[in-house]
Amino acid sequence: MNIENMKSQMRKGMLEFCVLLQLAKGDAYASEIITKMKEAHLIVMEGTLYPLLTRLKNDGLLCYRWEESPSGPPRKYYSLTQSGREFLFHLESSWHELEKSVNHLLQSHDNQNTEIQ
Amino acid sequence: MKRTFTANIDGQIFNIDEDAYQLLQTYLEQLHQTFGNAEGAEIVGDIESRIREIFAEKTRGGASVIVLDDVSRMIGTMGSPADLGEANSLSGSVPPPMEEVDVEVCGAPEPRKPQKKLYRNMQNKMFGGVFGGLATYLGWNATIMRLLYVVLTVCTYFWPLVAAYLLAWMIIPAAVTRRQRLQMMGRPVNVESVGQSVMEDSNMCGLGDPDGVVDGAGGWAEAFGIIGKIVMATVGIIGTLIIIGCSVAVMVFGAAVVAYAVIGSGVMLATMGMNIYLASSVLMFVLFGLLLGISLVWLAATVVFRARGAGKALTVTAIVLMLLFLGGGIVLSILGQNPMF
Repeated sequence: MNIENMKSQMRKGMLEFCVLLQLAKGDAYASEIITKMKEAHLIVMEGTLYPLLTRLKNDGLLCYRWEESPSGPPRKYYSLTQSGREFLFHLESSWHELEKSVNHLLQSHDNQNTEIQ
Repeated sequence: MKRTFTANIDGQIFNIDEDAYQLLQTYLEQLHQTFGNAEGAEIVGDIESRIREIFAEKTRGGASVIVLDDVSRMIGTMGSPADLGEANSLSGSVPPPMEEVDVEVCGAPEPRKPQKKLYRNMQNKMFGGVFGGLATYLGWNATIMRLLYVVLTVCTYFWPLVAAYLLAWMIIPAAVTRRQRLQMMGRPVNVESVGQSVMEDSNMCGLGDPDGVVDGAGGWAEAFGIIGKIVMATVGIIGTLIIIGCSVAVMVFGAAVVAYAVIGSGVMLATMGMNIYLASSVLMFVLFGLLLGISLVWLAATVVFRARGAGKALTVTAIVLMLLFLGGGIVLSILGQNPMF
């Protein structure tokens, strides 16, 4: 098992959740989302975001509209749909559960480590 | 000095270097392949608009042209098609079936070898590049194959192998674009290899044709080597002889058949020792021969004198006629020995 592969899989699993979280704060176009995700170190390659957005849109979690931009052609602004909001709500609660269980294990793991040291 | 193209990327016009353009085109093509059809068009469209943003930033910074380095850097930021394809399948809504995962974990990590494709090698050619291509495909030596072919051709009284060569020449496509050349060598066609081949070409200081087009505006004649031209000149002479021979034959047999059909006189036929059926088939045969001669001469002229206007269609006609001629010859020789006639 490759550590880099494992890491990127973990990150990828979180990416959709984080994109939905970002869009819950307000509508955004792809480049804005990319900037945020890059700031959070969630994506390395920008291209990964586009198939993900399209899939979320085709699954009915997102919708988009065209909006004029001050520079260049119109932009595609994404926003959450109603089912997107519900989906995000479920993801959030399951994230909190997951966080709790992982933290629980992590704490006992950390305690063990300090004991060894 | 480099040639530049004007490219419309998502509604904005960019000046882009030729090599950069090629790399970008390959990149987009590969993205299309990676993401499939229905969704793919939309995804690639979105990515294109991002590319426009990246390039627009570049030109706003004062750059007047997009160079190879800009495209490479953009691909570095966006991710190579292989990476994106992997990411796409990993985070896909459908989890991969268990067996597949098992196989991947247990099986030896064997990198998929790109398949070689058979093309005519336009960089290694004497005539049409058939043997250059075959040699590249099979990994043999082209010169040895050519020598062997010449020997075999002489041993088999020319026609069969010459026809085989011409057929192969028609059927096997020429490796014209960079993508085809890479496929011919069995190198993977991806952003890395195209980028590398662009570099190789520019390192050759213009020895390689920059846009990878051999069969281009210069026309058909460029596709032939010196030996090819000599061979075609011979073909032209043979064609001329065929025309002369067949014209005489058409007149003689035509006169005999017309005499029989119109006047009812079988004298000419009788002197030739033929009946009307055989004479008519011979007439058909020599008419085909006449057409064959004309197309051979025309074909040769287009190559030797660089005349315009001939192409695959003419080659096809010539070869079809040649096959008819050969077939007719065989049928006639069988009929001629038949006592029924």
